[in-house]
Amino acid sequence: MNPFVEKAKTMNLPPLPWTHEALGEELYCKIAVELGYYNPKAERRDYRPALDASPFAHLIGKATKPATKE
Amino acid sequence: MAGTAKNYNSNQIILGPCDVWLNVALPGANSRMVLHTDGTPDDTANPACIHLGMTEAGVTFEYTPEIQDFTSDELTAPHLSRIVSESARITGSFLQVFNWSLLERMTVGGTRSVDTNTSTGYEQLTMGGLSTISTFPVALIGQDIQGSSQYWVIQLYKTYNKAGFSFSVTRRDQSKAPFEFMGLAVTSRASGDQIGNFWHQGAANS
Repeated sequence: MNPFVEKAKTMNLPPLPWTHEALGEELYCKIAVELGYYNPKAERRDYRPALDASPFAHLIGKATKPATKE
Repeated sequence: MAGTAKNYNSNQIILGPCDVWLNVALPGANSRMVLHTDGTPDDTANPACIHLGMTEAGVTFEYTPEIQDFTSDELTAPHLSRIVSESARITGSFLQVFNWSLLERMTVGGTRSVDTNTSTGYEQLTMGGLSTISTFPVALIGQDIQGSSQYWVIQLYKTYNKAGFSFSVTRRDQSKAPFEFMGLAVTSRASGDQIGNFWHQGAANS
């Protein structure tokens, strides 16, 4: 079981694909960190691989709780 | 009291061929990349991946830990061993050196440009002057020997081609270029899962 699924349930997940190009830097970094991929801020700016959304695909567009305001 | 069963199992070997995919998606923690039913990367999850194409003689995967043994003056044998560094790499020689999308990845310091004009168009790779290295995930995918529609995957999360780009041209043989995808650590991932993974589909077989 992916430990980040519960976290994902509270987020408004964007549609696929989860590429840096499609998400933009800010949203890409947020998803990468909060859903446990890696911390893009700790890497060079040209390392921004697509994020495999499969563990969370069934949750896209189905946030069960409102995302917290930042 | 009885003997112990031996482990001769022909379903536990790996037999090629396999395929190398560049720029696949990065899996999350406790996750693995998504494959289509034919064993290729799922195109939704891996929208920018590139197939390396044919290789000269298959592919080698190598994981090498460097181990430091600690000894004492009082003992004749080491009393402690630790991994002090480790390297993971995928190596081979690829044949499709006339593919500029591949060349851009394989040259590390190269930049591809394209002119799509049907009469004056070209593809070009320029080199020289860059000092930074672009990195990307690489996956090696092969079929389970049992012949089912199940596959095994070796994925390195962050690599570059350390071998550069070198090929000869001769009438007597096809051109080929060696590659060495060197695995780097994605330091913000959990310890034990920073370089890559090796997994297979289906239930545990051992």
